Amino acid sequence: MTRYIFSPRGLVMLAIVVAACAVATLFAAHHHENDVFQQLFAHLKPAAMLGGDDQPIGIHAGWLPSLFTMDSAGHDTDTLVLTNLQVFQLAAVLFVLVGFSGVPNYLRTGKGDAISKMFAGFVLFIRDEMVFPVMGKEHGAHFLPYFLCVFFFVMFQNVFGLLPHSATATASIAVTAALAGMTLAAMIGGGMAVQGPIAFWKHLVPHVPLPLWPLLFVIEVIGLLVKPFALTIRLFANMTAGHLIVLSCMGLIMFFADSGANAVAGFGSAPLAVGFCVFIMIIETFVAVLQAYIFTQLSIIFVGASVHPEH
Amino acid sequence: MTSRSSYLLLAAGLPVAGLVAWQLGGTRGAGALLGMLAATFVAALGLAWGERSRRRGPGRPLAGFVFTFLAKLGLLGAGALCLRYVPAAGEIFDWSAYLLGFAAAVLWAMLASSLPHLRSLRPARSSAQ
Repeated sequence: MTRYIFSPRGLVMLAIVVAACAVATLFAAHHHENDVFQQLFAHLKPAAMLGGDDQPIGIHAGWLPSLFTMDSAGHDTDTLVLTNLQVFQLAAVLFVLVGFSGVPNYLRTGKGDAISKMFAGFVLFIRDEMVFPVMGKEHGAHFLPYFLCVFFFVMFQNVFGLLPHSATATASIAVTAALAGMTLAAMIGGGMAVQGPIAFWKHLVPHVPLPLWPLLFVIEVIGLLVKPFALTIRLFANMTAGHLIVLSCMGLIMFFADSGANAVAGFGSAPLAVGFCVFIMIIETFVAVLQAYIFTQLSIIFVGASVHPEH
Repeated sequence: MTSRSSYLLLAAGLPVAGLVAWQLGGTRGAGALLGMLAATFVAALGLAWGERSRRRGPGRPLAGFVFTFLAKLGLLGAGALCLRYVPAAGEIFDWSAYLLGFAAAVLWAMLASSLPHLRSLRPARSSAQ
């Protein structure tokens, strides 16, 4: 373990994570709710980053659709606000870039530090066990960089969300929708490039009688859009659910202390609640990696089906 | 051929940037134009660097990609801070328009550099058939 951390690359990666947590702690707005559970659940919402005058850092953009400028409560603020989610997204990108910077050299020469070897193992697994078996070597090689980016970006966002003073970017539906939108673009763009712009849409519908064709075309287009929608909801729901369970267990301690009118009930329920939280956090660690794998694997299957007309 | 198409697509974004700046007018227009020009310049440099490093050997494009990303990030942050906190610059260029212009141009640069690569998928179709 020490050879992973105490290498120059490991120290830079550690510094990125610590800096992200520190920035989020120092500059993110704090939620103030009356109810203990609402207060805890508010940690799942994106928190605006505050500037020197305690005002949210943002850009006035009233001309943008409200989809882009609404706050977590759904109110249109006419402002693109910087939140703690962006801090951890940026940290995940830098983490990937620093971690991967030694991988090409290791794969070329066989020489590299422990982190490069570890990342190279992940890369070869994704290439040989996930991408090539589904898409084949010819098409898989073209799309491999995208799938590698998706896997590591999602995984590090998921894992960063487990750290103290952090935020889970993938527990925001806007982030997962954007990621799934990229997969949709790869499906349509890749499919149109391989099959041809018109043939791709023509091949969506199998051989059916002509009167049925319009109906089936609409159904197939909906089916095309449902796939990234399922990706969006799956990742968002899984990352949100784990945090909700942990926060609910923590809230039980305060709830019992309040409703029992003494601290004994709170202290009494604490060992059970904390123990359960630890158990869920262990599962969440597994889920963080698993969901990145599932998101990537499904993206590979969807894009693979688009570029291969026989599917 | 692919790189030339990317450069052409990048250059095609410049008249659009000028049109957007003209429509916005004033400090906002100037800020947006500055952001778009800065992003296009770094993206073009990144493309040239990537092309050169691909010729030098496999594995090197990643380093070029990393430095291009960091250059974009640095220029975005440094430019916005300069325009926000240097009054003389802020009077000419609006910092928020600079950020939005930069973001829009980076998105265009991403499409410009990736769309021509879709051609490389086409021979695979003919060989598969």
